[in-house]
Amino acid sequence: MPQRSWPGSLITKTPVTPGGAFESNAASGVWTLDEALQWTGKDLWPTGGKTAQCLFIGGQSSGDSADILTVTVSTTGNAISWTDLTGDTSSPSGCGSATRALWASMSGDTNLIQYVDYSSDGTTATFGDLVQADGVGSAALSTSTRGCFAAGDDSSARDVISYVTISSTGNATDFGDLTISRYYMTGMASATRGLWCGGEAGGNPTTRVDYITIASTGNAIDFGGVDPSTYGAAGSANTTRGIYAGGSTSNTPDETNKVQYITIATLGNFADFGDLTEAVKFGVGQGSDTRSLRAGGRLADDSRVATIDYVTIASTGDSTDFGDMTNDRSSLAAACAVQGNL
Amino acid sequence: MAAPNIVNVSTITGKSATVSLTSTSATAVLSNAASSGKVFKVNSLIVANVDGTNAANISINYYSQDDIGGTATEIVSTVSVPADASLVVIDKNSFIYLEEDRSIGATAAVANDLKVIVSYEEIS
Repeated sequence: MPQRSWPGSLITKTPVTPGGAFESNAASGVWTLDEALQWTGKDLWPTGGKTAQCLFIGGQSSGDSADILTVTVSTTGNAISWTDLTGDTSSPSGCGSATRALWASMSGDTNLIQYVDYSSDGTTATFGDLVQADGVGSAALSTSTRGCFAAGDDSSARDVISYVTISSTGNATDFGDLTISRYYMTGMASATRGLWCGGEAGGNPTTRVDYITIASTGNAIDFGGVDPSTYGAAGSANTTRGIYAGGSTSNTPDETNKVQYITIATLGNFADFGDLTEAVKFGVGQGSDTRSLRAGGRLADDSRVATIDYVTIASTGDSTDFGDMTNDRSSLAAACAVQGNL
Repeated sequence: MAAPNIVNVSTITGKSATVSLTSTSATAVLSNAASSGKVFKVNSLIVANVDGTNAANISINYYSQDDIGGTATEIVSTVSVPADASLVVIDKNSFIYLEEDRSIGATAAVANDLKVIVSYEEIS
């Protein structure tokens, strides 16, 4: 159909550029099919049913990465920018439900929790405060109703676990303590059980894996271990299996590409799953019930990467390339509307 | 009655019809009854999204029988209409004749967000 006298600017006096491909993006006007096709080709045509899904939040790049990226887990492809962040956006930890993403504990030693709803236009808002300022190196996990934040390094390792009810904003409540204080650990959860894996304790990586029963409160209990001892790994889980990927095995550059897995319902040690496409620490993990994604991180030479790879959770094997983020970044957070344990 | 020979017609009446898509089921937008003795020349079909927040998808089909019966042939399939925007699906450069016992229907992906206006000539 030829382009003709139905400009997209018919309602407003100035030409309209659609705001983006998500269903909540604006594109007021009267449009021809030809125009819709052109903007669709530029991935800027607002599309019904298209909402942000798996989020990569903030993190460190050459400066802080002050935006949230999104990918669709079931496909492959590059991440696209969804919305901007404000304030300190380095080193957050993230979790969430099918409708809402939360992140907290940034390097500015703030106790601020922020959130965004997947169905929104990307507007972020304050959720509440953590029990304490966890600072850099904290970790988070969640079920569909409850989000938990733990540990972190605020000049000394922390052991506090705090939790929030995701659907209602407000301050976090004390949940209990980790078995040992640490930071740079990795959180993952099934529908009932949360695991805090690895991390750095007393200045050294640890094999320790703690678990909590998310619906209750109380101190964490020893679950088993990762092998080798690592900090700064990426992780995610579905209702049965947890994936722990990468990390650093010592304080000298010794990044690993090892991917490990565990059956969350059974106490014990992680087992070998396969290899990441590269050896990184300070990447982030998230995924669906079938896929576990790892995004970003730092290589042994301390440079950051933009890569995203994934494994199929149900079957062991090496990671496969998924796509790239918009820039190199590490120490980012993640949350996913189709998180595997929801 | 047979559809008229359009070089020898007695009446051409300009008409418009509207429909609000209150469900996600196929809904008749324009139907030319069997043996009507008429043919409809559809000059324009515009879909408006009255939701101010989210885009909504629309499919417009041509049906081989009246009242959206028979076989559906897609004119547009699952095309997104942005919030507070309108999409011109048919215009005078791509008009469609709707013969006897044929119809045009619309299917919305979201109920109560989309409205359709069709402008046509009823020829007999």
